Amino acid sequence: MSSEAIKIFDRRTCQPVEAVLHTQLDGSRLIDVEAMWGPERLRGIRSRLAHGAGEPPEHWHWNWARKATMAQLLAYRAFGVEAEGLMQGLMMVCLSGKQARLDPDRGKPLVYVEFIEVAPWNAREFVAHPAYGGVGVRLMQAAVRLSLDEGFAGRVGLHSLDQAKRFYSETCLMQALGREPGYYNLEYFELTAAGATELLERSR
Amino acid sequence: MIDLDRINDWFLAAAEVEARTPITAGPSLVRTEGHSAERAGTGRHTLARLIRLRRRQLRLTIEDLAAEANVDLEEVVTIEQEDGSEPEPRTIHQLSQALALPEQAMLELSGLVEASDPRFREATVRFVARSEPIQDLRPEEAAALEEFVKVLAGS
Repeated sequence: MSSEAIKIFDRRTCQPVEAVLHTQLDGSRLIDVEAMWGPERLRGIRSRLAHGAGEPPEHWHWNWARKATMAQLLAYRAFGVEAEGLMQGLMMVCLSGKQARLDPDRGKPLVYVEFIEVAPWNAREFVAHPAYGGVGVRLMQAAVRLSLDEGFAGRVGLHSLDQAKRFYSETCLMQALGREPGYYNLEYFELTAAGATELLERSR
Repeated sequence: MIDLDRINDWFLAAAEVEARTPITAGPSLVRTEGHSAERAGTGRHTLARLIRLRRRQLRLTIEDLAAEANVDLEEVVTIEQEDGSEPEPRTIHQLSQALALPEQAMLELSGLVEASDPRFREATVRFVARSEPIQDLRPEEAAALEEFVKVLAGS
């Protein structure tokens, strides 16, 4: 397991805090995280119901333990951001067989984000006051960096809910290519090599 | 270089957008779980038949294949006989190498990875329908196998 020191933002104290970026989690670690996150998701759902909130978020019974076998495969890498001894966010990427759809890089390889999620206590879908901010930002930056390291020029692709458009389009500078009925009606987003260069410049 | 140790205005603004947006990506199990068992069953049935036909096409016994792929004989028998258990990712990887079949497609058939292309499922069902298990590999079986392998290679 590889790791490095990073910083995220504590929304409770409005201060930067030390965190650890793990860049190669194994399957057993994902199972451990799910054991922690699962009850927290349920707690969040109960709280929403108690306060008269509507339908639970679509990913309320995601299960990272079921993705543990993927983490053992060479084509996949599992990333995590850890702070205060707890995993604050997870991301699973695929490095093989996925190609860019946007010109001028159409057909060239990219890093495909299979799954990304922040801990339930960091997501407004589950709690009124998220604990940490920027966990997803750091994971997406890690995906871009991995793409650069792999010689993919920063290209990244993923399928997400269309409600995430603002984050992936405006913050991550990805282009939305529309919903895909053949893939759970999720919207496909792609960061081109040029977009990655601009993202690097903005985040510098 | 991307500095993940730096808190600047861009990061704070990005974190604020993230706080207001559901950033979760990837299909949720709430959408896929209802069909996953049935899909895995169909996929593993197809995988078993694909491996049997390919093995016969290459004139390998089950023992030959197990030795060639460096996996336990029992694992190969289990997969070919469709006992319903989930194969190990390493086993699928090794078999794909030994049989010269696409690893990703075999992972999807095994149910270890969610299939992303609906055409893949259509091709899977068509393959099962067209490839009756018989003693010898007949020309139509060989044709079905070849057609399916081409689809797998392109998925």
